[in-house]
Amino acid sequence: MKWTGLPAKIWMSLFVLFPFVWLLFLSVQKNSYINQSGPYGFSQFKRALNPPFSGIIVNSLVYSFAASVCVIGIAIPIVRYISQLPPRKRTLWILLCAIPLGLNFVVRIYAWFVLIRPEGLLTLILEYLGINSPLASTRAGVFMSMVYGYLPFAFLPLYTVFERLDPSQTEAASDLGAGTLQRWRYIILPAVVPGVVASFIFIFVPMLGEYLIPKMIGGGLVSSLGTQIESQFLGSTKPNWPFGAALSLCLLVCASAVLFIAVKLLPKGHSGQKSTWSILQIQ
Amino acid sequence: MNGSLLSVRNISADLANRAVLQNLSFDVADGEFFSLLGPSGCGKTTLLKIVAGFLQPASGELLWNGRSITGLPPQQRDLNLVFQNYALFPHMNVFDNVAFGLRMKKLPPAEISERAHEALELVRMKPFAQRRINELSGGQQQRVALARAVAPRPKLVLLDEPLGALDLQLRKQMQIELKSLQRQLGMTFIYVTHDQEEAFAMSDRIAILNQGRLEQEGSPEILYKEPASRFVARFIGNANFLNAAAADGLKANCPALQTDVEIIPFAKAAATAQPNQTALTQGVLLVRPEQLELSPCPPESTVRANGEVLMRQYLGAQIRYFVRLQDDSDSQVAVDVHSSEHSLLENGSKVNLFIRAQRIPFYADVQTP
Repeated sequence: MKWTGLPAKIWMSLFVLFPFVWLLFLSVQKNSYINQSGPYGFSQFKRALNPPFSGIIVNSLVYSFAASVCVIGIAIPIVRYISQLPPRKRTLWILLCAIPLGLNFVVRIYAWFVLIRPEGLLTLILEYLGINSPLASTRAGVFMSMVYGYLPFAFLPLYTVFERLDPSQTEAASDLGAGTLQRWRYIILPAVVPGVVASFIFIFVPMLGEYLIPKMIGGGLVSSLGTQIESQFLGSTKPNWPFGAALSLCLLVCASAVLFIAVKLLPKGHSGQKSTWSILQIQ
Repeated sequence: MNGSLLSVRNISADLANRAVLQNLSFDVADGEFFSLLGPSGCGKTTLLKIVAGFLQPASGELLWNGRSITGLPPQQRDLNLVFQNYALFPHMNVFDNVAFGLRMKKLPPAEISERAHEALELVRMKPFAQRRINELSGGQQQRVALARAVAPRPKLVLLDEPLGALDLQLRKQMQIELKSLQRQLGMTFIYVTHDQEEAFAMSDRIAILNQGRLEQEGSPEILYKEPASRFVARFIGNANFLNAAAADGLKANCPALQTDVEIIPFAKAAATAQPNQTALTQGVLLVRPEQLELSPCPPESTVRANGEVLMRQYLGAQIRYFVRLQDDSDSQVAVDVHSSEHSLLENGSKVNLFIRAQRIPFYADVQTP
């Protein structure tokens, strides 16, 4: 009998297994209110997987995926630039990129809201440029805020792989006739794939369940999986815990499926390359 | 010089505000095995990076068959580099590594396969084509790096201390292989090393760098027999310096050995000696250990012995004696004798030293007014 694993087992039971089982139990209740227990069944799931809720789930998946891709697309050139700086400047830049992580998420999103509200600086700049589309309370605004909010989370996993890139590898590639694009395609990107997948997992999963941004920026007009679940549990009008539990389980299944696919897509690691898991463990 | 493939013209370079290369010029002929030899920090790797195109010189020019390639990016230069750490691509197998340069040239797939296998055959790595890089030993990785560099058939191959990480046995074997490979392919090699023996074993010509300057350039024989400076003399082989005074550019007197020798005067000796100056030019003679001969001095001999054996190293074919000169300088010299012709002398033996060479390089002391 091994006792060393006991704290971990207790922790997992109390905070993962029990809530999960309770969520399962909740989700098979037929009625809207838990105290009016009735016959069990999967009607909540049926409701969750049919319009309009199936549309919301698909929407959340698509938007989270697109926003994750944008975040990584923006982060890669920045991280590449930082990783090539001389060590002292590099430390300063990493610090600057990490500062937002020290700020409360709500505070950061609120600050962003100040920029994109109708009389906000960003909106005014866009208007000046001739783009007259409101950002607050729109999908575009929510999307931009998602990208902004999750950008700092992508930096560190990406930085760990870019920092380890051996400059002589890219030199060797250009020596053998590779131009900039070919160096990225054949040398740099294959070497940083584990970091890209790690940061994708890092931002995609919380984005899928994100409700703060749609609620604050969307002003209740943009619905997402996260806001739906929140309103089923805490909503003032018609809370429905069993339905909320069913939606939560759908979210869990979606996130797990995407995680599974992301890891399956990875090429086998080789020496000198960190695996996605080791990067996730470090963070 | 016509017929030179690469001409380095007055190249200077700075790294972090420090001059790393100062006004360097030399030519590398087509088909030559040329070495850049110098102690670490002499700027030889910087020079290689400039030739490869990874660094830009502060001033100067690189000519390729007489045409300037100074501003050309690395991918447009018809040369390939074998990196010190090999820089093989770890996510590709051996074949894909070797084929990389050919693919970048957009050759048809059949030709890529043929030429990559040919290059692997040259370095005897064909059976390993499908292996991953991390499954190879250091020597095998070295061969793959070499095959990758020669597969696109560049005119020039640059090698940055490629044997540095290998053990002695393997290094000697690779030296022979490299040299025969270079002959077989008829390519020009520029080989960077700090190992004098390695440079001598392979090179047609060698350029010696010291603190970013070219000290001397020439065949191994010239560098060994007639080094142009004390630095070169000391850097190549073993050197004994004996104090001497030269009356003119032809002869010098060496008081320690009580002898007159014919000299090859170098550098400032002739220039600094003014015609009206009657004083002798002070300087040193370069005598290699094998150019000295010693004979034991019997105790009852009336001739004053001019040396005493301090230490002996038995090296197999040769015996090296360290002999203290019995003059006021009290300096030491190394003497190599053939072990088959000499019986061993004990430490403390009195010996007479002779110089066997015909003409001895002489370096005048730098006058400090």
